[in-house]
Amino acid sequence: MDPAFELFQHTADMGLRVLAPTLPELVLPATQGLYAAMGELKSRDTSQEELPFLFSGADPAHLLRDYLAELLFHFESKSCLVSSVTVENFTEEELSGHLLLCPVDEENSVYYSEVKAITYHQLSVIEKQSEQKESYYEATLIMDI
Amino acid sequence: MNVEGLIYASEKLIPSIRDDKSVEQVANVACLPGIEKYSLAMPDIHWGYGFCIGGVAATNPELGGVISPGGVGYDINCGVRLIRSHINYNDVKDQIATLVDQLFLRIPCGVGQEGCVSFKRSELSKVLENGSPYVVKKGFGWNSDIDNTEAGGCLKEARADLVSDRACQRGANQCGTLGSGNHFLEVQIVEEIYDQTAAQILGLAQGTLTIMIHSGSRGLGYQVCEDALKDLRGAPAKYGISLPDRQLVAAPVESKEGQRYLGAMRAAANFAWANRQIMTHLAREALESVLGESAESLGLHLVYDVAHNIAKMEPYEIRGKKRKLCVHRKGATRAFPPGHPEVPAQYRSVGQPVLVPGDMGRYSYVLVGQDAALEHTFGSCCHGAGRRLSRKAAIKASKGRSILNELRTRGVVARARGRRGLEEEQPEAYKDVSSVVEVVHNTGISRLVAKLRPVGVIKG
Repeated sequence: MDPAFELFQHTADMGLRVLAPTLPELVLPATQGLYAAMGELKSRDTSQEELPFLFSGADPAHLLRDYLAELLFHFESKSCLVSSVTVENFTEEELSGHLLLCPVDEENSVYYSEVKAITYHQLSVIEKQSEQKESYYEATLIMDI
Repeated sequence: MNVEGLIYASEKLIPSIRDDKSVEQVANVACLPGIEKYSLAMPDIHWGYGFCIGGVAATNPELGGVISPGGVGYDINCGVRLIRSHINYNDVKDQIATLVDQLFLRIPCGVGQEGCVSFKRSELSKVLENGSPYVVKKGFGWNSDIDNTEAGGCLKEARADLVSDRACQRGANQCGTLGSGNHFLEVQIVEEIYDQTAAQILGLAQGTLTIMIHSGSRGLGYQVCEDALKDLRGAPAKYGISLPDRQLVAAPVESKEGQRYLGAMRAAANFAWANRQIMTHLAREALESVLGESAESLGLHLVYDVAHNIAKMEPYEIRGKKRKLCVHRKGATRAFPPGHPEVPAQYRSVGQPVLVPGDMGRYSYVLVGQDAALEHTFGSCCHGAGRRLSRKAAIKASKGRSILNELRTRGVVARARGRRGLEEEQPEAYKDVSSVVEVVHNTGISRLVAKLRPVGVIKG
């Protein structure tokens, strides 16, 4: 299965569902899904900042939520987007890796919604099995818009 | 449940209330330790995180009562303020479009927009501890604005030191910005007066223009809530609190965790008041530039500013004794009655102004708090209409339509920065707020004073 995300409706807010064969492969489509909720965002390659990240001590759903909350922080405080993400470890108790951040290209970006927060509502990462008996992970998060 | 649930509604509203899980949320809140009297919901009740929107709950610290960030919301002190004027709509109706353009130009709105002031940490701390009075001293308004703001625009015992660097970084450039989503600035006409005496006292005259601003604590407030939810994650287990819904995460008010949240929340609330105050100043400048008169001569005075996402320590008589309770209002507005010492002296004969915005195509309302609010709802009232359609459904419903043109046909000049702002926020996406205010008026919680019709709106 190819990693993928979809945005789904949720009365006042927005849901994000992410599918991937492994836990680490959830991270990139989750990143893309967050930015898709915000709009059609473009980055400038002019300057890049490499940042390590490490979240631990919780279950995969909370770890993924904390990761997306981190991206939201970088966007709001520094107007930066993730241009690439490398996941070194994503287990039941730890999510770590590093990000490459680039400034938002304000001129060529189109905004849809302001994401206030990644909530804890309906937060889950579940291991499932497809009809072809392949196991995959499904993450569900709700974003407060 | 420790107390019963009590929902204010009408036959008309009940079907939509049954549609989502908000009633279940009222029942869940009734399980909170130390909750007094009822787990309440106002007629604009709809589903939220933990608490429903429209939820009111007062907990008693003497009984181990808790404070819950979910009972306030991410947008701490999201609220509304109303500015009146001497301006007769008929005298300026040909200038409304120009006015809206100037407001749109001067007031930053939408994602990624920065304010005209950027605070370094040391000065931001002063904003967090002093609220709107601090920015008024800096020249962003008048002293009378402070008198007509709930809590004088500043919650005492706010703790700037408890607001994280992260929250400060998110908020440093956002003071004086509208935000997006359901935040707005509207130019309105006083369309109808229901209570002439109260309207006169509030300074509202039929046919005159008003400005209504709906906004909150922006990224700073969202981060304070985010930080608190993390800080309180282990609190229920630590204090033996059994929660039917983990989103009701809470700690005893008097615990270290509870006090940390209360201190930081107060600081974020003060930031929100400063935010709305700066936008008031910018709105006055916009009107001055278009109409060629000073804001004073245009009569652009603040009627009132109310918070509708907040938790405050307030005294209530419980079992024959005055006790300080932690009153959570999430999508609910304070509504103190005539004679209450916290109502500004000029309004004390009629009650505290209650501002209830509708959607951008229909009406907003001004009411005044009444005795029944203090007796039955911990001095609380509704705050707005509530969504009827999800954002996706609203966008789908707008396919093939120009919401901008439809608003123009209704006599509303609209400007929106976000690509989908108008579509997501179109009138049909919201319930009819008239049905909501009817309930609070008929139950005596608040009394209708005036109906306001939008003629211009800016959105993020």
